[in-house]
Amino acid sequence: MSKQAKRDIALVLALLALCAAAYFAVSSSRTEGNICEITVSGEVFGRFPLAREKAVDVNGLCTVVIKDGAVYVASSTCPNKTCVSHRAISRGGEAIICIPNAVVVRVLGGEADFVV
Amino acid sequence: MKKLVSLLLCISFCSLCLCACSGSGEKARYNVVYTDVFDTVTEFTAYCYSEEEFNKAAEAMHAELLRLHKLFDIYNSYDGVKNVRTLCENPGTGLRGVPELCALVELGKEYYSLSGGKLNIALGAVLRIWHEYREKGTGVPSAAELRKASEHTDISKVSASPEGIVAVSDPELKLDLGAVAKGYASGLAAKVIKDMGVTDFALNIGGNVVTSGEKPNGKWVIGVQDPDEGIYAKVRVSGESVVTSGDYQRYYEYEGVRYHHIIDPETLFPADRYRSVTVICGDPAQADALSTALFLMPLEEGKALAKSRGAEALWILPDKSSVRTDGFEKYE
Amino acid sequence: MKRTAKLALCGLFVALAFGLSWVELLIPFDSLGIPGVKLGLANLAVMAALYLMGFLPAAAVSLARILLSWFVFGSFTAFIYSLCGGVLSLAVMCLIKRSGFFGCAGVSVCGAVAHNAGQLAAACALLHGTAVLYYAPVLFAAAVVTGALNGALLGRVLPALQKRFTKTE
Repeated sequence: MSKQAKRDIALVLALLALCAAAYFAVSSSRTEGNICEITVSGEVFGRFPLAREKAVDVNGLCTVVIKDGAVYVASSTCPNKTCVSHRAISRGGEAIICIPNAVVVRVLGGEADFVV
Repeated sequence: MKKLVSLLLCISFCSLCLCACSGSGEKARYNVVYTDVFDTVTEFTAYCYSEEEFNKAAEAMHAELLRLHKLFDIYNSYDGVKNVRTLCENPGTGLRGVPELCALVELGKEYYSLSGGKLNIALGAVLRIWHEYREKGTGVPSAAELRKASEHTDISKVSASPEGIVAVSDPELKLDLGAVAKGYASGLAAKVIKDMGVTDFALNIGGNVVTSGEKPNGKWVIGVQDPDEGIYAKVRVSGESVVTSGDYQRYYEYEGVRYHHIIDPETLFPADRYRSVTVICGDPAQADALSTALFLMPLEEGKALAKSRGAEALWILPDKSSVRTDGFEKYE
Repeated sequence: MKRTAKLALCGLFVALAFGLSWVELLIPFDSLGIPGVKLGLANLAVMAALYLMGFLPAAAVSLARILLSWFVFGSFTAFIYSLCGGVLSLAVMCLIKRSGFFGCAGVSVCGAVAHNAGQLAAACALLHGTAVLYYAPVLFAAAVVTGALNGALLGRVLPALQKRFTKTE
């Protein structure tokens, strides 16, 4: 076997090993649905990574808390508090909606366009 | 050789310019959310050539939804609008010139018989009581209170004549179109969007999804919510409607018990056969009516009804296992 | 090689590359659950041009193929992706080949990886996000495999081609 052919094989093996390593690195670091978007009356209020713990005050209407890769509404000024009793969401396409205050918290990314 | 290469490059460049001029461009994804119709969230996503094209379609669709929202409203009156509240407050006289209301009442009556009385659009008097308790968030209505209200839920007192007159002959009877209105409205809204020339879109009115066309990378993907956490299943559709009725959509908890919004007309309490039922059907109004009907019906009867309507369904049972119609899998 | 022979060969390779890109469309990798993966067969023609005639003819073949695909299959986004991939890929292949360090397969693998890198860079720019990078390792692994296969194939064919087309000199 020529020198070049040996190098070719070494190159292929090295690159494949690199890909495998990168794959495991990426898949272990990946959080499902990685960004949460908050909109008020249809206008985007802000986008926040789910990986970072944070409490967001949404124009005094409600407090959105990001914790353990999931997001939930901790408190709200709305009368029925449906949004507060909603469980924490983490998957792409999921959403918490506060109709009275017109606040929508949803997780971007993931494959589904809507979740029903 | 150099000349040859320059020639090729020249030809390429010229044709590039030509194509750039005649090219129609690519569609981009646009999205808008409304929270002012049907007491739920409405999300419209479409692939359009320009933002202007999308906004026009979205505005026309939103205007249609607002019109239908007022028409089907049971609690409020609007200036110059004859709606369901007008109808219930003026028993005997009947309403004329409300074709959508007439069609919806007919659909409701059809599904009353198809579901063996389980889906009843005349159940408003009972649902109103649950609605009040849900808004308060505490307490549970007494059986006596519910029984009394249920005396005024006879659907034969509601009529829709072929001439387009809708009438209610029991003054205490309250229509509640909640089980069918959103699906029916989503169908009309989809028609408006198509009339505006937009062909690739998905519209979600509080769990009633209607789709048309496809995304550039394939069909629309609709997740079926796991009643407790995350996504239970995913379906891929293009043109079909997907509707879920679930015990997690509207509810309140009192003394550790969850009371949701889908009431069984026999027990007058929330139905507990399933956690949720998801229906895939070509017709959005049928999909909505079916999802509520199937949520209230025994499994085998429900399967037969879905089959007779050409619809596919997924039932999630209380133990989180699931039952599918034979054809449901081909969407997964 | 005579100029006319080169010209004819260029045309032949463009046709070959274009035909091979069409063949690729017939293989449904998307439905096999690995979307975005392609065999990269068209690169065979580009590489053959590179080995037989050098950088400029190879560039001409590559560009002509990308433009043709755009005209015929008609997606501007796909065109931008191919262009970014094609330019980077050819540049890398030319440099590696000139270094003489790797054989046909090595050059092909580097070209395929560079092609993917170019496309991913374009995707990041067009989609304004890096979410697409999560999928990159899978794409690169596929590129290494298909690149190696293509390169090995060309390595077998190349001596015959060289004999046939350069002897007329």
